Amino acid sequence: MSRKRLSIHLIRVVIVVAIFVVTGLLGVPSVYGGDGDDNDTTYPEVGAAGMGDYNNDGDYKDSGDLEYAVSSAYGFKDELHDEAGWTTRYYKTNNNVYEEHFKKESYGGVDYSYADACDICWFQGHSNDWAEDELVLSFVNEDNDDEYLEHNEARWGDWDAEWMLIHTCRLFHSDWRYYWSAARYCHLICSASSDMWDSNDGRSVAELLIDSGSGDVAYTVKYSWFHGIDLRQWFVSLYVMGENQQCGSDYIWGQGQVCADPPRDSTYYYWTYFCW
Amino acid sequence: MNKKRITGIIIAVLLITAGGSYPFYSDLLSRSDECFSVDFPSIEAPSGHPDFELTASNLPSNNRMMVYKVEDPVVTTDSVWQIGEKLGFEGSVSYIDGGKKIAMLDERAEEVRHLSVFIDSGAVDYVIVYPDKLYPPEPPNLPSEEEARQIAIDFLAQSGLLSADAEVGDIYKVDVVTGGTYGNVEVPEEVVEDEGEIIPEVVEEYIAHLLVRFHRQIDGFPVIGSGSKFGVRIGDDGEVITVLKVWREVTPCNEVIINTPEQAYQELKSGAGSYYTPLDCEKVVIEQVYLAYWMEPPDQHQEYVAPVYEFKGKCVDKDGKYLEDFTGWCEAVK
Repeated sequence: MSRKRLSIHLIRVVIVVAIFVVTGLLGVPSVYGGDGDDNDTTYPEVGAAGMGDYNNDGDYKDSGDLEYAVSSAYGFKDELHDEAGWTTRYYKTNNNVYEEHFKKESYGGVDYSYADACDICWFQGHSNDWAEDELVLSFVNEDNDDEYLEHNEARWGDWDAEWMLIHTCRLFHSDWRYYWSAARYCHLICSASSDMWDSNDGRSVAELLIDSGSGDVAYTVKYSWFHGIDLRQWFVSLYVMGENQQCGSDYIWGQGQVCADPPRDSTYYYWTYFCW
Repeated sequence: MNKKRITGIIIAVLLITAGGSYPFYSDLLSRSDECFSVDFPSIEAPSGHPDFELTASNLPSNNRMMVYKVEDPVVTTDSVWQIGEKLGFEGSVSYIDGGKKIAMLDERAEEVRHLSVFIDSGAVDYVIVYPDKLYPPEPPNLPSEEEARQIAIDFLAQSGLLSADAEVGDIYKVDVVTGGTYGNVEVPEEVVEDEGEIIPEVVEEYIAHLLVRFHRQIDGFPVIGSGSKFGVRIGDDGEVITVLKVWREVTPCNEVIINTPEQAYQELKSGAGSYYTPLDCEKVVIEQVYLAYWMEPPDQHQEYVAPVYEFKGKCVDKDGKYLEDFTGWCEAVK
């Protein structure tokens, strides 16, 4: 091997080692679980869906419109985009949010381009329990597949998602606590075990996720969900499930430590928080 | 000037003076005055359309209530620094979150604390950010309820967040509840990879922290709504981890005529207020009706505090079986 080729080889080795060291210091997980995890630290992506106009569809007349769902979803993605430089991968509202966007590919869904294509995803809308003793996420539009997402149709994290923030009622209610199975390398699913009020919480949660400069500090995903929601919600029990304990200490990309994508196993952890 | 004329003038002057002393009696405002309307929240689940039954006794008999004016909070870098100083913070004060809050950060090697004050409401938010003391990895050594109550009162008094002359039972009541839990669940190995059709079994759960709640009252009526929060979260060995105090100062503004409880009940039934029931709720039984004051969230400017009716009871299914508790509200101002 010539001296010149040896030098080039050494430079390559040094660069590779440097990348490992730098990414380690930034808290980049050594294991990516999702097939679509892509440049998460340098190119983090946010998604948001808000459904407020439920009366477009006759089947949903009982649901009632949600006045703040759209503005809340907008506020969440806007804050991450404007204040932390995240890319908006997905932002849909009302009739343009499809069940398919949250559904796994093997069931005909396209979550790999929408909900699971983002590192963090905000869903705000109705859930209901009329589907044979099961709690489902409700969508306005029934033209693309159907209008509700069952727990076994969701597999979040096997593409890109780390954190799913589901602003809806009773997702983890003790009678319907099935959505644990939706986590596939997803670090945390943040939601509630009680009803939730229709309120404009998105920006408040995002503000806590981000250190905006002097006098400010970034909070963990878990605490941001709890406290950002606590400011407006009242007599609500929030619930965060994580695949392992370390996920509970996650910050979003660029704001602190992020755990390695957790492999699926038979144990998961949860944290509850009472807003009063 | 004869005696009759002098007497007449004196009576007229007295009447005018009396009228001026009680402007609200000559200036009763109504709900149509927009600033007295209340923006009740709605639930993110489809609600049923049940029948209603009113079984409550001891209904409020008030026909007038005071509306209160919210004093503009004075939130400046100096006022926030003063709170921070009492909490032992060092460092500078800055506007954060688009100028909505003024904040201080206290960063030390072993602990990071954050103090922020909402400009629109004066609400104070104090948190030990790091390490995560709300959810310790091992079951914490929590104080008794009575100890927790005293720890909270002492902490608030020391930090100037509770006036020394405030009497429990006078302007607030205190209770202690579970603030948060931490646990883990297990599912059988054989269903880990299937569709998850079982509800997993809780292996371990413990109370991670306590929440000491200060329930505010105005003129003997409870203050409700998300802007009524004044709570202290207490963790391992009785350490105060967070304080959220939303406490808008108010002054009497105008007395208003209010609906009777029966009128309010009719309004609630007609959908004028806000309530939620599960879809299988056939009937709502109203067991308690009382008057309260509604407070808006801490990040909102609020000009007036208006009275509302709160209804509490239960939802029952078609067989009369209890489903869940019921709470509903509607405006009280006529």
